[in-house]
Amino acid sequence: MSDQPIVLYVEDDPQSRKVMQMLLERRMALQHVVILDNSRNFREVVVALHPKPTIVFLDIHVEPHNGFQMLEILRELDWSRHVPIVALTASVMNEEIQHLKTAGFDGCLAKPIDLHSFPDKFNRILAGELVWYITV
Amino acid sequence: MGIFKRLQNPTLNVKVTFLLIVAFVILLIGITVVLVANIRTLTDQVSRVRTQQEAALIQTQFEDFSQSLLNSARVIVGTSNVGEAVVSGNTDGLRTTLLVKSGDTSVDQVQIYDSKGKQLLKLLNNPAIADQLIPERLISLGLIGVEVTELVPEPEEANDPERGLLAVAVTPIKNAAGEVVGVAVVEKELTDKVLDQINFGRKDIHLSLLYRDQIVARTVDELIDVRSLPYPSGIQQSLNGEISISPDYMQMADGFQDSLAYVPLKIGRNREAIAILHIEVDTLFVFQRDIIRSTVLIFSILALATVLFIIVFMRISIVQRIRQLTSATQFMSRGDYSHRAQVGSGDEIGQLAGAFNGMADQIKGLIDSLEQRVRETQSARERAERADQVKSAFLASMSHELRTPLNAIINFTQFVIEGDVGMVNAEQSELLGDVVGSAKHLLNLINDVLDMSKIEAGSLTLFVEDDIQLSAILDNVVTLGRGLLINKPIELRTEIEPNLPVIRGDRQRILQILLNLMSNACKYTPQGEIKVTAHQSNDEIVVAVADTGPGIATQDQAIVFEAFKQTRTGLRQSGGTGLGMPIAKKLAEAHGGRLWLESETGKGTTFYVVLPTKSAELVPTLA
Repeated sequence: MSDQPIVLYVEDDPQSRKVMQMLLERRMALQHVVILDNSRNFREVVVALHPKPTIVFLDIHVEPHNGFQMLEILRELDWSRHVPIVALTASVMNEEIQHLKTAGFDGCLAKPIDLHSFPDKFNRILAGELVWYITV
Repeated sequence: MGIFKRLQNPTLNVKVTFLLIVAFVILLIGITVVLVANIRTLTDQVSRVRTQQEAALIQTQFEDFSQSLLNSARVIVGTSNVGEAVVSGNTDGLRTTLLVKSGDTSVDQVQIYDSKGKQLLKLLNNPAIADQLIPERLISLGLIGVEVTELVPEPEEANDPERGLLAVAVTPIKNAAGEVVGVAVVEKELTDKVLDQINFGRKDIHLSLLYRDQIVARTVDELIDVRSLPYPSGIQQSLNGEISISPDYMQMADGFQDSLAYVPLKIGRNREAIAILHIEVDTLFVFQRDIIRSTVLIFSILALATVLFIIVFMRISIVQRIRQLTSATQFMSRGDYSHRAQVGSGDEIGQLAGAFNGMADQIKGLIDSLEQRVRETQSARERAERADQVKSAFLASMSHELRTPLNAIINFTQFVIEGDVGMVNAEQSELLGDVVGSAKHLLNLINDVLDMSKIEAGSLTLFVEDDIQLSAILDNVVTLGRGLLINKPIELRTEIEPNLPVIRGDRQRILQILLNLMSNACKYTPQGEIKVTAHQSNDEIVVAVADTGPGIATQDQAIVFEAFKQTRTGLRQSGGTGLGMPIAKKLAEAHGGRLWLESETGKGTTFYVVLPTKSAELVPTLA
């Protein structure tokens, strides 16, 4: 299925990784899902990836490079220019959201993930829409 | 110019010198006045005493003169055979005898009279003596055996304006039987030369002989004008036989002043002649002037020396030490508090220096302790800032750490409920639904506690944007409200003014405020309606959320906005955190707005939010 999206997800919390894995691989039946549990040698790892991702989800609190630093590394690469990069964060109720916007993220999804609306948002993001999903 | 400036703003030394000089000048004038007055009195007294002594001496001299004249007569009378020669009328023998004697006695003229009063012989030694008659009274006295002396004026002569005065001595001549047989008369004129001898030939004491208002002899060249003599009553007094000292000085033609005395001559019974005695007292005046001059000179030298001494003393003992103090003060004013003034002796300046040093010690102590305090305060503030940072970081980290597992619980449970991992029955599904609800509540609680902590710590920061569409946020809120009101008999109505202006603020926080009001209304209203209105009023937008719920009792209304408190109604009916309203109110106020409620028990509650469209307090974060 060559038109299936290729997902990259970086997350240090194993439970969060498991949630996303169930959502993407079981519910949405996506076959190209790469999940990293840390950001060590992030540039080398990403450069080595094949095929290249078409959508990226980044947790913010990742070691050693946090979400903002990973975004910067990705934006330096040519192929990522048109790839939506979305932040996944639990810190949805503070000014960090605004920092995400100004830093250049293409969207933000809050944890816990709304399982019902996620596929729709995923597709909208993939279609180039900026989605700032914020719960209260 | 420099000296002029120095005098305009004189130093201590100049002032003291000036004062000293003034004081000494006044003192000098005073001393001179007193000295002159006293010395004048002293001089007067000295000259008076001396004049008195001289007058007495001169009087004695005249007496001696008179006595010696008498003695000359006695010598003639005592010559052997003089009596027999007078009796026998042997004038030639008598002349021979007497010529020898009269030469010895240096008298001017000798006359011998017989017992009948007839002149037997006349021997003239001095041809200047005018031939004259001896008053018969004197001859008669001699013939009855009495020795007499007397002053006799020369007879007036046309060619001699100066009338001479003669001293005459008459002595009886006796025979062997002791009977008076004749008289011997001896005469001597009181000439200038005689007067000079009486005066011992002195040059500073002068005698003039006054007889019947005429000067008949004098020891000086200057002829005294009798009418202009001072103290004329003294003349009368001396004519009565008393020595009279003039209280006034006699002004001489050469400019000098002489002290003056009138002295009666005690010769015979004639009281018409007196001696005017005047003494040159210039030496006294010179002496007086010298005393005053030398005193003033010595005093001036002493005063000058004293002034110099005091200036030097001032310089060493006062001025230099005050300059040291000034220098120490300047050191202090430049911030060098370790500099100390040299105390020196224990006088007032020493005490001042001591007090200054004490003050410097205190100031140094104060500054040290102040600096210590400042350091302590700084370090305390740094500690507090570090503690705040630690606290903020801790809170952020805690909320993240707490939320992460909760998020997993919620998502995993949802997967189970929704059958992703196999079938669940209705009962299981319900219970798992409660798990999700409880977890979400816990999540809200964590969010609220974190917000409240930030607000109370003053670390709440707004992400301010300039172009917030309130109507869009209200749409969002109403949509969420409708979701909450599914299966509830409540009508949700809106009255939102079209074309509301964009406002300045934090989009997320404004959404949070309005969502809070909406969820509260939905939560506490069992039935009826909820009405959301929004309109512009001047530079503000007023949003109201009115419900038909149970209402809030007046006494409970304030509690609504207090953290961690809820009304009884609220606690009974909901599992809220109790932080939503206080947070909403604080957020509204952080926007420069207000939030309040109006309620009537049993009829419902209306919450109002007023937000300024362009709050001056808010500055766009990404300007």
